[in-house]
Amino acid sequence: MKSLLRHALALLAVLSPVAGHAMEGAAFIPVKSSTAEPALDPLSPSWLKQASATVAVYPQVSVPPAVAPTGAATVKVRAQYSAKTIALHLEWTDDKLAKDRAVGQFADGAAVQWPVRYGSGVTLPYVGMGHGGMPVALWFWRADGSVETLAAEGFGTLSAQPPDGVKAKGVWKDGTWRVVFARTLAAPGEHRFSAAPAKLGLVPVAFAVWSGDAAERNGLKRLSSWQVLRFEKGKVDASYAKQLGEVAVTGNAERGKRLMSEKGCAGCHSFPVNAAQPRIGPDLTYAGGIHSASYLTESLLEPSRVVVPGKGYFMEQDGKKTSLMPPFTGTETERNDILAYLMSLRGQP
Amino acid sequence: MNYEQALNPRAVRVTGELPHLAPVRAPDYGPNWDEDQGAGEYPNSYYFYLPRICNHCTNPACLAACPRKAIYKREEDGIVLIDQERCRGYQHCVAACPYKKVYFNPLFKRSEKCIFCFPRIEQGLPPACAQQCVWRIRFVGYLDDVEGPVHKLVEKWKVALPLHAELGTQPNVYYVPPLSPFKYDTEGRLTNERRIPDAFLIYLFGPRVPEVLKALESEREKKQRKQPSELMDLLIAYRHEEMFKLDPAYYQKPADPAATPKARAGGAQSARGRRVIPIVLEGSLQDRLDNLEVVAGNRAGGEKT
Repeated sequence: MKSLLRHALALLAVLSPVAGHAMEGAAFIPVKSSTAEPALDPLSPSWLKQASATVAVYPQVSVPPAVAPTGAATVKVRAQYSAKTIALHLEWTDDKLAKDRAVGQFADGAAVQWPVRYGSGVTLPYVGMGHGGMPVALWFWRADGSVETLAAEGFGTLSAQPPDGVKAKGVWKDGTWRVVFARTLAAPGEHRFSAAPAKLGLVPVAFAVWSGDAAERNGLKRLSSWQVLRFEKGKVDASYAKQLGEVAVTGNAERGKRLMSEKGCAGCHSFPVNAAQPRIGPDLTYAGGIHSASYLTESLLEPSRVVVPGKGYFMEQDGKKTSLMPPFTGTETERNDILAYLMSLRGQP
Repeated sequence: MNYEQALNPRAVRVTGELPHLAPVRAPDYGPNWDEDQGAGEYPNSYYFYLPRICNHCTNPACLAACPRKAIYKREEDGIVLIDQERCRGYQHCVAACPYKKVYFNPLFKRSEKCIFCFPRIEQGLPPACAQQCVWRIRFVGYLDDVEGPVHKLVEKWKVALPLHAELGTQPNVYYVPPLSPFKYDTEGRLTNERRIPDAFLIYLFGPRVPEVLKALESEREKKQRKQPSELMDLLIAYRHEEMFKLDPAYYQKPADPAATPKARAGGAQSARGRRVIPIVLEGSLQDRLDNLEVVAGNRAGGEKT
């Protein structure tokens, strides 16, 4: 997460210098406080005049069915909140409009993913639809005009929830989709996202987009890493900011790349320089793009804590999923080198 | 049709005989027009029907393709179903089924397939398509039920073959390959060669086709010689009810008295894994049907557009 935020900061610096809110060295997406209700119209000047933060979205390759690894794209994110409402404005390019769902036809779409539980000391759910015991709440908009309230606890567990009142409106114009999601800050009920900026002004969020004309649907999508929304007048918990903020990745990525072969990682995981391209564990082509350094460290040390439920990635033992990967037993230096290499994986050749 | 000429005794007789009843112009419609293509050169042309339902495969490709585990195969009878609550219309199953027997419903945005009339099966009744078949060509039963007609045709007499077994999904619908009339030679004499090429039947039903056709022939001859033939009696289907042997509890050995069908009907999932599938509608069905645009009209024949 932390190093990833550093990456996001670098992107912000290049692409939209006015956006981003530097917070103890990390780039959080600012949520602008507004006395008026945020506009649901994506073309409203109140949105277009606001500076945007740029978030990289990467092809989903962790579990099949996976998108062809064609490199990262970006989504511009703007956010506003009033006393009652939170609204997000997503903007991304899509050359071909795909509006309807029919036989063999899929609609463009966008989703916002929230952790159901978050806050100081709470580890984030797995970025790909959460994991067992750590659900994510989702707002899913499709170009046919539908918007759904969903929840999931890992790939393949997505399920419809009673509507939480989320509204969404999308407009496609000149090869660009602009979509606004809006809902009340708080929403009662299980498996819901709820925000209370006065108590906690930092909220993790992730995004995904689908291109219908490329037959993208379900796991065939582009997703971001966990981002952090910072409510303009919200309360910033220093320990939580630190948890979500930057830690330097100190390892040597070049050594890490070599260790990936020496330590056997290459036997099961695909990554750009691995000619074998095995499919016994998640593809790591975009590991640094979608994962945080803390998640990757945890995966190295405790592979079975979060098991990515791809076919053949795990065994069932006493009804519990156990990763086929043995815990990393090398030195800390070696681990940091591997981590540095993994964090560098963002789709470059 | 030339009714006037062919059926009117006072019509002009060209050769001293009434003309054959025949169309007066080239036909451009008929039942299953554009579907019944047939093959072969007149007078050796041929066709046969190949009724295809979901094969309820032992190794279903649709089930394997679903990333949401919305498709399941019931333990008690092997029926493969799509849970309409879990399905999100991704259509991976539609692409994966080599028999193309899963369909996307654009109205409900979900995939649907043959349910083998499971509510009827649960009452010991055959699927409606089998029961109402006027030609009595569909047998239904459990493959390992030695008393059942399916076991007799598939395992005992070995005359029923799966369609495209080479695809590896272990389909559970079996076909008795069709015997066809013999071909005429150029002089109009019957030959020993059947009209439907063996190669085509082997392509559909696998390498055992020739021996199956032989077995059917020899049993038919036995029957013609008034000798008993269990196989022919079975295929003739004298008694409709004998074509179906279905015991709703065939694969169930309920240890738990609460697991009776009555106790199960209420719950979404029983201890034995039987699920009652609720159909979830977004908005009222009537609204949806009222607003449905009819894109393809039913053309029973007549004018072509």
